[in-house]
Amino acid sequence: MRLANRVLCAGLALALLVGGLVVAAEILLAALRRGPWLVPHDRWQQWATTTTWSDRGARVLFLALLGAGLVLLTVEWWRRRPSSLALAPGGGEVTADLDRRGVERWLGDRVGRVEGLSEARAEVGSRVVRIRADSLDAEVGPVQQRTRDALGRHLEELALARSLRMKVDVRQRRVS
Amino acid sequence: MSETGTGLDSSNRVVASILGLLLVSAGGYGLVRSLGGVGHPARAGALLDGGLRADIAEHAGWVGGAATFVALLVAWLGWWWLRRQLLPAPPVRRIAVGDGRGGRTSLDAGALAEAVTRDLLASDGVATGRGRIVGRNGFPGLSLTAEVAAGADPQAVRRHVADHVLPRARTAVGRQDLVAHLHLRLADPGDRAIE
Repeated sequence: MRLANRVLCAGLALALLVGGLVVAAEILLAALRRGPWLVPHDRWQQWATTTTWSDRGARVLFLALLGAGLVLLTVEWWRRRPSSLALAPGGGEVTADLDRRGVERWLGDRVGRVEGLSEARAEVGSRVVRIRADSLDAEVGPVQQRTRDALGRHLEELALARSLRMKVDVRQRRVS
Repeated sequence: MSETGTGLDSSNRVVASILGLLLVSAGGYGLVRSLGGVGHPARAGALLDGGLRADIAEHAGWVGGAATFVALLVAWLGWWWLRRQLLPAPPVRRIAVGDGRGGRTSLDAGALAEAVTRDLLASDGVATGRGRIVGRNGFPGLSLTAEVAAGADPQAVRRHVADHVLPRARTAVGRQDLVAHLHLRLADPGDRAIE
């Protein structure tokens, strides 16, 4: 998602660069009484002169602009998980962060060692860390508590700059 | 110093949001007006009416100049934005370490990066690592990436950078304002720890 957003932004940036240069060139050519070069602005001007605000074509154009803008805003403001997690200050003048995926694997491995768990997966967001785990024990309550305690200890060990809310979901796995 | 991925993502969000808002405003205004709102009941009028065309024709000189200026400004914004995507933290080739009457002394940034990488790998907890010299406008910084070996303490790696890597790099370039950013990746728990 993050990579896709960067590709999208690179595409938009390229469009602005090329579009701006082409428009500037077209204006200069028009000032020199030369015809259109790449943009058929004479036809566009003709269309804008003969098309009314309530014409279907104009409405389609406005809807397209509105839709593109809304899509862009949605993509940019969609909450994404951070790519890295800042470490708390304390290393002198060195700022540091941890790769999120590595933290997820590490937490999943550490928490998965809790007695009573058969498997654990960690998902780290900007505010919450969620553990989803399976237990073979008949009583999951104590396992859930042990998992929560272990998660708290391991998060403390990582010394992240921002404390994360813990969500632990231990499900009982039935063996058939 | 170097721009982190998060910094780049933030600037992308700001610029793309401004573009999105402009598109929404333009599309929304057009749509509302085409439906008879915004105090323009005459929705049967042309998008580019005679009055507007006459005004543009009358002031063609400065309108053309202003439009060219805006187009070039947009192109520059596009160039600035694209450059940030492609070179979020531009590598530094040479670092000025002295400037006197006799001339200028500079240090090859590649050699310094190699030395910094060696110092980084000297840490017990680092499985793999890489140092780069990045920065803008004559303010170099260290951008360090390291994989923390399974079972090792990330804070210990950070302390190693603060106590050994950064001071040595500062001494090499003769600049106490040199800063460092360390990006750590915890090794896959299945990987063997480096002893």
